[in-house]
Amino acid sequence: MRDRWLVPALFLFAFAAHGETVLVSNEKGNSITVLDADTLKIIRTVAVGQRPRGIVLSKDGRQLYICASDDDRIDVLDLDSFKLLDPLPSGPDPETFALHPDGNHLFVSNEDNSLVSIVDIAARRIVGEISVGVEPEGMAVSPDGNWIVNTSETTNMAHFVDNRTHQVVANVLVDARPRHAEWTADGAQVWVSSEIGGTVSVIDGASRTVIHKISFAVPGVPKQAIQAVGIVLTKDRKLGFVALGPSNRVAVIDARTFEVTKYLLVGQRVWNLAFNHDESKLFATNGISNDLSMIDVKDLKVVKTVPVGNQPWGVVVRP
Amino acid sequence: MKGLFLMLLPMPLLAAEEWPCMQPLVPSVSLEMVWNGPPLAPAGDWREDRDLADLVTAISTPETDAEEGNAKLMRFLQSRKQNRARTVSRLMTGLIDENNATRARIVERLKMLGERQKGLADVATRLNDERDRAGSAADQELIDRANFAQRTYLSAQSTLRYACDIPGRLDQRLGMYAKTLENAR
Repeated sequence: MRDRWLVPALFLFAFAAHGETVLVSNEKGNSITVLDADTLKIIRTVAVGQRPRGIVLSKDGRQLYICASDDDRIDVLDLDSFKLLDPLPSGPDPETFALHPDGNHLFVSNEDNSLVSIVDIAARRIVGEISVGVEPEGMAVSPDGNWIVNTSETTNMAHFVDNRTHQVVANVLVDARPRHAEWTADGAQVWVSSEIGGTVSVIDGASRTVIHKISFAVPGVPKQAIQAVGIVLTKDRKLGFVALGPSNRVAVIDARTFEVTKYLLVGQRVWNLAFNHDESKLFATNGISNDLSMIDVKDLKVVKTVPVGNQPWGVVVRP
Repeated sequence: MKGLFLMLLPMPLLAAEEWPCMQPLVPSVSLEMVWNGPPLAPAGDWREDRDLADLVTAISTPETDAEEGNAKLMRFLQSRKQNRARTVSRLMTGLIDENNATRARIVERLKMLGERQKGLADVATRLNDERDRAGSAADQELIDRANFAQRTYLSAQSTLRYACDIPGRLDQRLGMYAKTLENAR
């Protein structure tokens, strides 16, 4: 009789012990904050390289790759032991990167030298470089792995790179200082945010033309404070969320009509966004108020904001 | 050498823009950007309340530490339990006004620093060019002047980078004050 309950009890224990965790890079704190995704309690803070910004999970979710911008390397954090493993090369001043669906190639934007470096994770070396515009920033790989999109802050372009030849095949002009690129899950569109322009350009993935430009206006908030940065899109392509920097708002967008339906007040200078695995929760890093906000995606409400480290920047959720 | 030095120049200077910081300029902060409480009732001129105005001015200087300022704000709220809604409204309005006045002064100083940096960059680039053109014939005085100009530029650049963070720090402190006032209602 006792054994009948043992298996489900063990299963429940295992499930509870492996809940989702939120990982936040703290740009000035030189650390990663690890939080429980349900309670937002800090589980631990791990010291990493200097000026950690972009972060991405390995394909199996067991490691966190971290752009340690001022150390010119990619730190690798083991998420079971929370120990730093040997770092990966990155090229100079890595700010953001994207993981190819093969799980073995990182495309790294090197802000200082107008290059995208291709890092082979298993071989632990840079296997290629792609010349792009001045101050490369946002990086995104198409879901089929065939196309790389990089945005360049100063050239104000989204560069489409053929992943077979590593050649730029199209340059799409967007508004000033493009920050982030995000493919829709079906690979049909790329959304590119412009920090100074305060807009999001929706680019058709096949024709590589801007098919819509989303603008934002928050009553009572100066236009200059509306700076579009992080973007996430639900897998069903129904909803988009855009972090609007010092306006301290996350915009909610109907991704089919491109209409802004709501602005959610979060912390100060909201920068990057990440869903949990079932997209029921959205997390936002607030770089000036040094905290993290959790948004209920169904209710479209900010349910909690908790302190993290100094100048939180990137965020991912480990299933 | 010239190419290397030019690479050291931040893009806003090369683009000859008026604003020298990497952070885009946000000229002012509005109540809507920081206030997450219920709407504030109109409460008249905050400067009419002398003690309140003194506090607002004192905790809004650029030198005031955020934690210390917040502690003073909390003590003031403790001493003013009557007419709480009006007090909160006046405090918040006053803190926004003072934050924006301080910000405006800092923004102007940053623009002046940026102008000066542009001048320093011109001098340093010109001396570098002269030294490069002279090659091995460059005399020691020219080499010293070029090196000095470059060092001065880079030193001022690091000061500027630090100064560019000040508006953000003021906004961070204002956000902390706003939270205290939201909780005090």
